[in-house]
Amino acid sequence: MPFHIRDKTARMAAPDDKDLLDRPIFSFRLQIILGFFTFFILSVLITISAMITINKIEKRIATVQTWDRFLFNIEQARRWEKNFFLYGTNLKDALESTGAALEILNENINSLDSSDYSWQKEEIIRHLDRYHIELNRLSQLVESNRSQPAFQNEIEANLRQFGAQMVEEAAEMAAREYEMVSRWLHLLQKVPAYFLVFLFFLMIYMTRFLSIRFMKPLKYLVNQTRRIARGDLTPLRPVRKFRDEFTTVEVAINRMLKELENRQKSLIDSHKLRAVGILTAGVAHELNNPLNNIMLTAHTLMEEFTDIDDDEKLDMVKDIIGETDRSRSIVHNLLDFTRESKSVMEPLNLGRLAEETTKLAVNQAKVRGVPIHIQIERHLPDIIGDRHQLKQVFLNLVLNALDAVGSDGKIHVRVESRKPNLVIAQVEDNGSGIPADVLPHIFDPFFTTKPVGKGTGLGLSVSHGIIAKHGGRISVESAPGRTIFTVTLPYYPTARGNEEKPGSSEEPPH
Amino acid sequence: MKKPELLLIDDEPMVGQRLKGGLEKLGCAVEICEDPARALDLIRKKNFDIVITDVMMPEISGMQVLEAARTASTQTRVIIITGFATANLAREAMEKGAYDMIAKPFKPADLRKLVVKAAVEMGYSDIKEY
Amino acid sequence: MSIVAIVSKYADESSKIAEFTALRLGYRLVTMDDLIKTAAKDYNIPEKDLAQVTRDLTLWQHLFRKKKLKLVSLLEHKLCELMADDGIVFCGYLGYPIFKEISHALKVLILADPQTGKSAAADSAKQPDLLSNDGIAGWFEKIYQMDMEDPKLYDLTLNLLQMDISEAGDIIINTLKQKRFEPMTYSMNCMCNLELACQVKTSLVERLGDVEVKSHDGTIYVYSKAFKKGGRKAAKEVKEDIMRMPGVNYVEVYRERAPFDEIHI
Repeated sequence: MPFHIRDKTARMAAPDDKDLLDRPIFSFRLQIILGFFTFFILSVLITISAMITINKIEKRIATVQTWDRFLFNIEQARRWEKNFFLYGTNLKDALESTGAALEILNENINSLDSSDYSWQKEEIIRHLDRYHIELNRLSQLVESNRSQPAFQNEIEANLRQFGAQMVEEAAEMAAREYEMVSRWLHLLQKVPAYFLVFLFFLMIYMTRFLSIRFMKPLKYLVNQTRRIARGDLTPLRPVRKFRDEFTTVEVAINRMLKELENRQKSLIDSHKLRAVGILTAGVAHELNNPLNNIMLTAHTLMEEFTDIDDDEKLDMVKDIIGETDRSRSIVHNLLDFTRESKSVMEPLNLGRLAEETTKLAVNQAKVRGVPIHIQIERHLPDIIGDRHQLKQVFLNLVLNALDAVGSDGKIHVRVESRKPNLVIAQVEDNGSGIPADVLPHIFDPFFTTKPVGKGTGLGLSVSHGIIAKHGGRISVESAPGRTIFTVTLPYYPTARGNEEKPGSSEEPPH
Repeated sequence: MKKPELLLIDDEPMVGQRLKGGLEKLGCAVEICEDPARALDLIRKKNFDIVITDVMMPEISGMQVLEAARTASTQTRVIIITGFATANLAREAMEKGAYDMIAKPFKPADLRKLVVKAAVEMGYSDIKEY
Repeated sequence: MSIVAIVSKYADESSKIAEFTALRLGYRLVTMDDLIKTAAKDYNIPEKDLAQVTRDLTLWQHLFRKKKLKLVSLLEHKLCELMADDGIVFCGYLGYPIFKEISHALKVLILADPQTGKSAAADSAKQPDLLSNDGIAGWFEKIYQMDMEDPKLYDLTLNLLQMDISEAGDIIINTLKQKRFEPMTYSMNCMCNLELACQVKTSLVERLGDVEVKSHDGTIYVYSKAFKKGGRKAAKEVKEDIMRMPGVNYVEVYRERAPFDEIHI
């Protein structure tokens, strides 16, 4: 019940599957059935035409026989006629034969008429009639026993003339019919050979057609799975105009992709939480500074309340308010990163994003005593992307770099545009580098060099997934003392709206 | 009467601004420094009796300041103020010769108490909380 | 003065080391028995009940669970008070979360020959309510969800198969000479925070069962799943009760466990 199943899948289909399922059905079953049906129709046609031809040949043969008999009788009559003139035998037999010939002609006149070529029917009948009449006249003349040589000579001449003509015509007809029959036979002989040749090519075509029809979607699916393996989780788009058994597979793959994407999303979220855990130390410090300022200012205000003038008091209150705002912005920045967010693709300035993200980690870096230098090209073109996910990628790269460097570590974050239509962001550290045997695996899921419990090994694979989703690439080159992670993202000329906004200049964030 | 020389290092300007008055009232000669690199120079030039330093500062950490101050004079009492106080940091600071450590945010009076305690230990008897 | 906390499932050996160390340092020695006796006297609770709860391997799953947890909490509170007081050498298997957070507490794990455990087990025939070595480790794990003999939890791990008791004592004393174990304002503040947290916990545990309390300069954070059921009213009552306690100036009540408990903001 393939139709039943397909209807069910159509009903269960998510909106993403709609495109795939909205095409007309042209299943392989149907295609195979159609192929065989064509064969059958062809065979039936061939058989019917063969039967018709044979039938026609049969008729032809009958006609040929008729003409043969007619000719035989005419010749018989001519022989009797000759005998009469030579030996004076009676003319009765000749008359009988002529009568028989006429009878044959009359009997078969319909079948002869149905012949697909015209024949001088009147001529033959007239000649036969005249011949018959002349014979009758001659026989009457003989019966009357009156010798009228002149009249007899005239009749003889007439008889010779009509007889010869008649024989000639009848022979011609018979020969014509023979030729016809042999032509038909010839055709009948050739048709199966042609048919076989035709069948051969038809089969080759069918095989090719079907295998292409099978192989193309298979190849397409294989390529798609490769693309998916690289981390691009965009659903499959319909490439054929119709639906078939592969559509079921495509729908299943799309469902799997959706599931994978959900999985990836929860991975991203859990990974985010880990990053927040790491960041908390930095944020604690960051937050404690304004809190300390508030505490000190408030206490000073309290202690010296009576000793200082109103302006100073006002300044202190303003300081407290200012520091509260600062605390709020720190909390906001962290929350903005942690927040459960829907994936929204929007035009983004990658430079500003990288700067914001790096700031999240700057305090963590301060804890470690590692300076982070940010170098961002002015007037970067906007890229289209998910702000939160890209932030996570950068944060992950910066935190990784921070993990990689020692006490004299330095981290460089660079964002610049490259031709054609690319924005690249690099995070460089001067740590010990990634060993060559490890390097090819670092984007694999669950690959980690950190001790158990410290890293989940998901960081880089998650980053890789996010960047692949954005149509970009993340790559790494590493040598002792220099490891560079490069994120390459395409931008589209249409997204260059905010280009005129000033980008951040080269200044370290602290 | 000689006043105890005090150096306060924190990259947050407000810390020095608010604490300076109170510490001077105690009877200390207070110098405020927001740049730890300059603070290192100051420490090398002059022996401070008490150095109060933040830990997490750009480029130079409070631990380096602590080490420099202890190298310059073992008599120097170094008080660590930090926004990121952990048991490990506390132990590291103590091991490196810190006099005391106090976590941010703190009350000005808390720090003053420590300064008084340190100054009295060093023989500045007329220093006391007002 | 600093604190030495000696944790071991080998009660005999570790108490001998503690005795040695305390004598040499001039610190006060606190064993499990001392702790129980002091708590019994100060809180006016039968010594037997307190002793019983430290030997009860079923206290986390039985009737009177909350009552028993309260007794444990009381002991922890008392330990906290003793630690805040003056230099002490504590030897026992209770109160790890308390000295974990104190930078001036030297945490020592003592390992010994498991064979000696057998003799202790033989002794326990005479004192049937005394826990065996593995019983102690089990008690520790059940109540603190940690492996007692995980070296990561300690500053120093001493193996009595490699040294005798006086050598172990010397190592402890020499280690304690390091400046890193000196107390300072920050760690003393931590101590005060812990003491207040213990006090609050003791007052709550009978009502809420599993409860975690943290404190920071008079601000109390209470984490308990019990608030899920009781809802707002219970939380409000708890808040009001805690606010009445001396030294408390603000209370936060949470349903979830502390997310990042190693961070001190």
